Amino acid sequence: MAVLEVTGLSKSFGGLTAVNDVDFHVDEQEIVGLIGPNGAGKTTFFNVITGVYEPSEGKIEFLGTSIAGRLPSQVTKLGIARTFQNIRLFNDMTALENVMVGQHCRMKTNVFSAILRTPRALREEERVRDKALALLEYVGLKGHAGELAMNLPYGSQRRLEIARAMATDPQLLFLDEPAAGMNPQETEDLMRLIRRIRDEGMTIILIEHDMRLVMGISDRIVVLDHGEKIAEGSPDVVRQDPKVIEAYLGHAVEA
Amino acid sequence: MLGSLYALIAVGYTMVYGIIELINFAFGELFMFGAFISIAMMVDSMAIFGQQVNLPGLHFLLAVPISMAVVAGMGVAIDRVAYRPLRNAPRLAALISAIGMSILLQNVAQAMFGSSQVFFPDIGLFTGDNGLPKYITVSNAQITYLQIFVVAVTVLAMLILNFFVQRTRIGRAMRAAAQDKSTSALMGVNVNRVIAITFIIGSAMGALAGGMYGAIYHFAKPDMGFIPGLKAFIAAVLGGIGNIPGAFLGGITLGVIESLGSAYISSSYRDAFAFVILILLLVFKPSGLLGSHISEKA
Amino acid sequence: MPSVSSIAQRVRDLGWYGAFVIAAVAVAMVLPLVIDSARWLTLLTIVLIYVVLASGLNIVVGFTGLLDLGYVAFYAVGGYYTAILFIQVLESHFGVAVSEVWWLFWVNLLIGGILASIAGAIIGYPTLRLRGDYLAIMTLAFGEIIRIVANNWDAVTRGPSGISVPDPAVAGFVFGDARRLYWLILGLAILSVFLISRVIRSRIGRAWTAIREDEIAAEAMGIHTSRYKLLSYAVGAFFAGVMGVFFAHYLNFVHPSNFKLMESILMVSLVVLGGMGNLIGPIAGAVLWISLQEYLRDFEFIQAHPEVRGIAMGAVLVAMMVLRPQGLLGSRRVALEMRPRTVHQSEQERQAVADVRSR
Repeated sequence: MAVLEVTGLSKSFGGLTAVNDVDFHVDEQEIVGLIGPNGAGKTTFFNVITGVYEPSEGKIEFLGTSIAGRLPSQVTKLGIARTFQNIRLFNDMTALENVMVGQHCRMKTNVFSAILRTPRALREEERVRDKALALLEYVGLKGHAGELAMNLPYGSQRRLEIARAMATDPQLLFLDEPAAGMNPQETEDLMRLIRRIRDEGMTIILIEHDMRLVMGISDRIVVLDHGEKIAEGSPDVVRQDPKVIEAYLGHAVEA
Repeated sequence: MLGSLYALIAVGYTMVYGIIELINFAFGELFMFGAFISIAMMVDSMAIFGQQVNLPGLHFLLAVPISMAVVAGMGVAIDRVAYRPLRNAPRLAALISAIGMSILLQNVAQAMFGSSQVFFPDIGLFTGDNGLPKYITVSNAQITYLQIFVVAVTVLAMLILNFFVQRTRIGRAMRAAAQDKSTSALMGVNVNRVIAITFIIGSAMGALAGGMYGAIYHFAKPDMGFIPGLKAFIAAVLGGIGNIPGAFLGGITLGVIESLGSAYISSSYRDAFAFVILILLLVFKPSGLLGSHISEKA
Repeated sequence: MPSVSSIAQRVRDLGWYGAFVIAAVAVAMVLPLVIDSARWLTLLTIVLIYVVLASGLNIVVGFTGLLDLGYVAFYAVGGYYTAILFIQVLESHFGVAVSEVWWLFWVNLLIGGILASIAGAIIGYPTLRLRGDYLAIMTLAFGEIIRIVANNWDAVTRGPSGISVPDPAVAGFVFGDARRLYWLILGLAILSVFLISRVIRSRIGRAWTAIREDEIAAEAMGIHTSRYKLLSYAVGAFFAGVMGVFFAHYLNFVHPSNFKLMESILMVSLVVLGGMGNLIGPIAGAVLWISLQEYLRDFEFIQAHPEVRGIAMGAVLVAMMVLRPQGLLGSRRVALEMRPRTVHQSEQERQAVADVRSR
């Protein structure tokens, strides 16, 4: 059963077509890797699906519901979470607070219940706090709960972003270059984490340039170039696809 | 004619904004100082900080350029003190600093010149011996020499400016810095110097407008700069922020709309008019009439 | 009924900070018994008004990161509402004597706040898509429009003549003198700050701070940013409205000159001076600055040279931003928010924010 079904998706900015007629699907508990040379439109693709941009054309169906054109907060509420290419943590908040924000859309406390500190509100707050602490431990940040996000080392920040995304109780997780800037050991740990997240029921789409990671972890790979899908299949198949090789090499030669 | 004044100020405003992307709240105050310094140069003596000071009694046409030079210097100093250190800080900080500067200048002027109106002397060129403005008659309408002068100067200034920005090397550097500061820095543009020059020109424009305003309305007052400053901003946004011909057009348009509006509706609501225009503008067409190359969002 | 030991535990939990707060409140309550002079009590009353105003504005500026230069508009809404209701409507129109409807004052505190809230949402709505400086200018424009309307709409607001407003009262017990008014405002201030702290320390405060820190990420984490920004305006405005009502009855007069742009800027200055984004900063800023301002008001030199105040305020603003943007009591946390952003925003990201904002 397809968790996400994308048909004929296109996105243009003025004269520039960033994504051109792409079909895409992800099945439950699959890990799909999205690769392609720089500027291929991968992050734009993410952004359209998660609601940051409105699609110029095409359909996006998530768990049977159309999500094209919805606000990002609505998309998140429906069950899609994401991390960012350029780490966008809430710098001035602690790691714990960052993750707690992730639970925002799963909470019901409003202005009045906040003021009155109703028992329900207090219970909810405690539940959220406990869950956030658990998530921090899950990604290996136990003990860092009280540190400001901006003070964390880079690798920890990336993991914090994942914890925060998971706090939204998603069914589909978009990871945008989660391994960027990581050393081999950190990448190894990350692979384990991602596998574990999947094994516990998550469906994952990931953009990555680190080929070892992508090839090693993905069930299926989709390749974009110049906004178009040029290949799709298992890592072995894609690795040998001449079009893919040319896309990467071709770019290298151009530059 | 009011419009062309607005236009002048707007041009100065938009220039600076285009590069440093900061609303220079203190701009109105530069306008105000322009008027005061022109007066100072024109009279024989004046009370400054409470003391009577002897001053050269220069002609209007000499006083204004001097005033422009002084105010230009002020502009650069202001940038150095209040804006430059905050160049990379979030906009909130720079904005607050600008507001602070505006209040500071306004009150300094008040300390220097008193809070009431200071008379702007009559100018022989524009005013006849009987104290009335000299004018010519064109098909039933009386157009004073002064009005002609103001419009002429504004148009001239705009043309010179446009030429400067489009054709000279420095002008190119300014445009580059307006588009993308960091890249132009990498290309060898001394961004700080370009900004300083922009301030010089922008402030001089403001001073010029101030001098002319004083000549038209025959007075200068420390709080006279605030509203024109805001209206200049509105005019600049109207024409498209960062867009110099746009600012010119915006100024004229704003002047016309205001005059019509206050004639037909009510003059006491005149200022409110300008604000309403601003709000409508920002809601519906923030990039202005002629479009702006600067992203007004984010 | 909580047991003695659990109350004791709660008190212990509060720690130094809590103890300080309790002590300060206790001192404040007892003060009028010790101080007799009306002048001092008046000064303290005005300080407390600004404490609430600064705290309310802090929600919008400090926590959510929206520079509101038109906050005085909400203050005016509250003040004029109660004045118009009491005098123009009831007295002039229906011939109802003020003393009969004394209870209306208390009701008005709430209604004034609510009206201001609504105004906040209305004024905030067009600013949702705007960037920092444009947002500031737009709020400034709204504030000025309200003042100009108040000044010119003679039929309703009596324009430059203003409207005189009665003292607050409770069935004959009139809050007429300085001491009673002080206690009244103290109560209101304590309540307001308490409410604000409760809201800030909840999921809502977290959402606001998230929006300030990174609007795109906040939206992506499920926070409906538009709605929360409006909420921020509304909640912030509420307190200004309440203060407006109090102020009108305190001064016994409303007049457009009470609601000038300078007031908005003053309020922003208080927040900036004391420290944005934390609860005690604006309180400290208000106490410090307003005490000084009101104390110096009677000095001859100041009266002869009113511009000194402006010079000082302008200089403080500039100096603060350049030297210590986190304010006097700002925690390091807010200071870091003011430091250079090193991430270079790509054009795509800018477009993304624009797209998100426009929906």
